[in-house]
Amino acid sequence: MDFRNILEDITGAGEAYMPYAARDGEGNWIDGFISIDFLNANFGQYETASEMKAATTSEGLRLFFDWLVEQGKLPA
Amino acid sequence: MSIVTIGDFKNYLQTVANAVSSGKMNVNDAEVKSVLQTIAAAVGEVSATPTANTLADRLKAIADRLGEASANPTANTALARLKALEGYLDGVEAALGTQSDAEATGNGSIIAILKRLRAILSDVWNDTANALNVQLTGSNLEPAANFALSQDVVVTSGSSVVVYSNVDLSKYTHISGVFFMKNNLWPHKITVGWKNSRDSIVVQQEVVETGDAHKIFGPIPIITKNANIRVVNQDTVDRTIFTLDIYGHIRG
Repeated sequence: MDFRNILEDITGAGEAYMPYAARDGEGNWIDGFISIDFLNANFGQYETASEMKAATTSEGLRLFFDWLVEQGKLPA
Repeated sequence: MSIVTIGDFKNYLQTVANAVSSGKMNVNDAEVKSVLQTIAAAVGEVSATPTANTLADRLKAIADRLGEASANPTANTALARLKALEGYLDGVEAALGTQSDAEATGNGSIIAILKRLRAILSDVWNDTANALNVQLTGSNLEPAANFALSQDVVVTSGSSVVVYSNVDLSKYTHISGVFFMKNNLWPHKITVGWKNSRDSIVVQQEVVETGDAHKIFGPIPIITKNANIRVVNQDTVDRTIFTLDIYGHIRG
């Protein structure tokens, strides 16, 4: 999967919108950005959200991959 | 000779008194003389070297240790030690000075110098207002944004988040920062997004290089009046920000 094909660079610096960029002390999610190059470097070898979620311990990334599935941008 | 105690004296005298009071008069001159000689031997003689262990000997020993009340008591006597202490106390008293001593700008008594210190501190610190009267040279920094410890933020792997949004930096010439990660160092970037009057980011400036081990940065010249401060987690796991404090360098 090449994330450049499914994500939009919204900052001009190779970053896409990320609804789960951080979590505050009370557990609330804060939106921000995610590096498209980072996604390609670490998850580019996978094709499905399930494979990507299995390859990370990050709670925010797992939610992000699910969100991409809901958006119809990534196979489950 | 054997040591004669006060109790012995008392017994000797009681013996004489009993003899007289009973009317027996069975004490002859030799016996009285013997008792008196015993007493005399116990008292000792008035001399530079009284017989050892007599009362005179013990009194002389005490007198020798006390020393004489004079301008120069014999060394190592109690009076000589007291005189030395008196000298020290006189010195301390002189160094302390008195409450009426005037404030000293140069050398002076401790009270005079303390008065000067109090005056200087009063110039610097307004006790009533609980605030400094003047800005100290070099202390041109003040917190521009603080990240409270209770607000630890966990940044998702590969993501970036604006920690401080629209910070007003208009009164500063530069900003510096202190950044602490929780537990250990992780790959990160800190960026300042300089905003124009229409609230758009015009410059995204990295203030900490990728993978930089330093946890302080700056001073960075102010480009616009408002900025967003961002933290980028470049690690493959989620990471917690512990502290990110931004300090502004005050103009002038």
